[in-house]
Amino acid sequence: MFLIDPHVHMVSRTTTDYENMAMAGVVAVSEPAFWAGFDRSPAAFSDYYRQLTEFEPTRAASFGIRHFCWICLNPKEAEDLGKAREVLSLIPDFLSRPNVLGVGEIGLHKNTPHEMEVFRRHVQLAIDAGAARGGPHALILIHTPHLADKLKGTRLILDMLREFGAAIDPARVLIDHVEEHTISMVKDAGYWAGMTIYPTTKATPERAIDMIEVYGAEQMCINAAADWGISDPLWIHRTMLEAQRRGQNRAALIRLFHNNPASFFGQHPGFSIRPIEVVEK
Amino acid sequence: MASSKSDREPEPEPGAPPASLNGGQVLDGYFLKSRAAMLDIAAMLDRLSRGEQSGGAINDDRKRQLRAALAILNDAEGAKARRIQEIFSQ
Ligand SMILES: [Zn+2]
Repeated sequence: MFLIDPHVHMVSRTTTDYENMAMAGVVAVSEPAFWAGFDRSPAAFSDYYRQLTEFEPTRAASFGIRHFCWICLNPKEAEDLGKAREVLSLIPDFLSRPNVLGVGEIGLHKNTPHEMEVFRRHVQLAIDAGAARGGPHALILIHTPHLADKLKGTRLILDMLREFGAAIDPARVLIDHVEEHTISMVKDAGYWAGMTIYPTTKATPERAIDMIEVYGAEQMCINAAADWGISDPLWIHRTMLEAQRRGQNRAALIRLFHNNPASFFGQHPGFSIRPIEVVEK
Repeated sequence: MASSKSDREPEPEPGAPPASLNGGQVLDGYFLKSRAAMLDIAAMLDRLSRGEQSGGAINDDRKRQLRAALAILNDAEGAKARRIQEIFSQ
């Protein structure tokens, strides 16, 4: 089975993870820029973006995995507006690098006014990047807050996106980490939705497949958001196994775990992996 | 309004020694795990009622056991783990 991992932080994973993922059928990964576990200086971001655009693609390539990434200042470090201004000024140059799919993972963490301000600036950056190329806005990947802050944060994010009116195309935005109480509002507004299988704080394979049964697989991606925490990229595969146990056929599995991410990311001209068709003879 | 039985804090089982962790430490250590476990139970019950629309299970005795266990989770008595075990093992 072939899969695309739509959200994984490979900078904090080992090369053994790449090997395991390759053996488990992962053909491409999408790595959003995120928090390193501690707050960095603006200078560190330039190095981090180089790691995402130069080093990780090489590390992935040695296992036959294509590596794509997203560039932004994550919401957890968005509280300092001075630092945000400095880091955001680095982003436009990186957005034109070949493996960069767009702006992300932006979003909210504690739903503060400063986080909201930085979120809006990132959305504007995506719009400006598109305008500079004479095309639609850059793809956007959005992190919704954890746990107690999720419901309010998701509503705030949808409200802020709405402020941009027709400049934002919901089909070019993926809103990640949806759960039972936020999935409808994201899907009803026409956005792509991501579900994250992560121990304790997010969804489980069983709950994720419940949500697929209830809300459908249309514009849905499943990820494990594996990072430096207790997490595992192969939780995606556990979720696939759960779907298989419930009788989903190979075509449905390929659609959810390969073709959906390929369709969303494929809106970027640099993402050349096309959806595949399962033909049973 | 008089408080119903289930509004009261559960009492520990008489004779049970204090825990090695204090109340705050227990919440710090186990709140998120319990939250996740509750979501698992809730999702399973939703799955069960959706499943019953496709047939099966309506009068299954395991459903009665689950309901009885859920009532124990929310009552004002202690020794919840032992009492729930006794529902599932007679
Ligand atoms: Zn992430």
